[in-house]
Amino acid sequence: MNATGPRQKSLALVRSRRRAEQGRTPARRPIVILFSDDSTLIFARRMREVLQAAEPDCLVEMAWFTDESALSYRQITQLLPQGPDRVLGGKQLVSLMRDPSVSAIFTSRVYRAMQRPLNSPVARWSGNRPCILSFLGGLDFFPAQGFARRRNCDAVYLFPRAAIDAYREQVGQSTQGWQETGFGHPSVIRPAGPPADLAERRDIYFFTQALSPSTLRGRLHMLRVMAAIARANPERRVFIKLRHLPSENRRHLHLEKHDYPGLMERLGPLPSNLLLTDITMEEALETAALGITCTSTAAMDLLRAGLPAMVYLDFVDAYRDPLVPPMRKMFQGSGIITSTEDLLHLKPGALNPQWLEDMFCPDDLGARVLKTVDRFHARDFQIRRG
Amino acid sequence: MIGKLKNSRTGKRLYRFSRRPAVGWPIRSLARFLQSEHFQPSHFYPANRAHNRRVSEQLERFEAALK
Repeated sequence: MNATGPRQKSLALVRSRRRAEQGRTPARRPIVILFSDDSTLIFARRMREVLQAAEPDCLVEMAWFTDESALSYRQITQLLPQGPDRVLGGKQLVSLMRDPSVSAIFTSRVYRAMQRPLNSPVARWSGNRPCILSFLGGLDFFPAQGFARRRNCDAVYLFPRAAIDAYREQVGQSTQGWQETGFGHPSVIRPAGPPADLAERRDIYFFTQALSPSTLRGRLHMLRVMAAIARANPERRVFIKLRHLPSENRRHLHLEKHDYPGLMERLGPLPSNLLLTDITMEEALETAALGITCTSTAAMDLLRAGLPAMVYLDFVDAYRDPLVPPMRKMFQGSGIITSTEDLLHLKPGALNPQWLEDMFCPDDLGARVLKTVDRFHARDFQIRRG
Repeated sequence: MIGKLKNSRTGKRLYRFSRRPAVGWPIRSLARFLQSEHFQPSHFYPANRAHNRRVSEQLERFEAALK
């Protein structure tokens, strides 16, 4: 039956407009972000924020990859109280990499299960599949292995800026297929400025790590330094922020030999304003006036939040710590590497803006990664089956 | 050096021997001793000793000033 009357004509017009609209914007497909431990879950949360800030309608699903999981119940409850949107084992992850209903898979770790499909040219050149976009796990002092694992991803986002050239030089022609490289990471977005209430804040945080300082003497030295700072500043609270509790993360990539709560018991009476805490990084950054760290990515979190940071690399037995030389190299010229005297007197150095620009990406990261995903789906050569 | 030893045939034989319940313990003890923090040669380098001394003195001076 042909549309002849005015009512039929307007209905036909509405339908044709709807069809044209659907042609312009394909049905929205979710972006899946993988996580398996506290580091990757922090990445996933930040990536979700970045994507939703860039495009509020963006569908983001948090997927817990359980084959390499090292999350405690406390950590997942604290960091993702609403729970994951998907729970994946190795086989499900491989199926997800072929799933046409997913727009992209974002990950900060290229899991073992992903390697085989990534290394297969047929899988790599196939159309109707999600874009595999990988970021670095964090501040990577020895990125060569990480670069090699990412060489067959569809897109690789790196930092600092110099890492992009280093990646291209290393990977060169060994990757075959469409690949885009970009600058950035959701944990290193350029700070907008210091928080408005910074002058009123009093709390000092020491962000601990599992690996650094690596020796018992080095850790005891750090504790003594924190206790001395607490004694010298009785009106301020000095928090030792634990990455995880002593009983947690026994399967974590970085295992802690000497935990701070145990060491504090050995030191004897400590000032009452020296406290242990296991709150999240975001919670700590809300009240911190100053952050201290040795070789941790926490320095980046502090700078991202516009807070003064002190990177202390002169602790006792620092020469035994393999992370000290690369940390010193990476923060060379930043102005925030602090001597023992300056640390004890709480005198953070001035941050070098040029260094900041090379290390931290602009705040359009979300828009840029979404464009990368669009370009991936519009790429020239794609094997289409079925 | 230890990495090379671990990958060599002798190293693998030593490892298998050290896992024997009755006779492996002296090798396990020796390995533990050689890998212990106190035994690391870098602790005895003059520059490293000077570094530790300097840092500890700075902290002790600061602590003394608080008393």
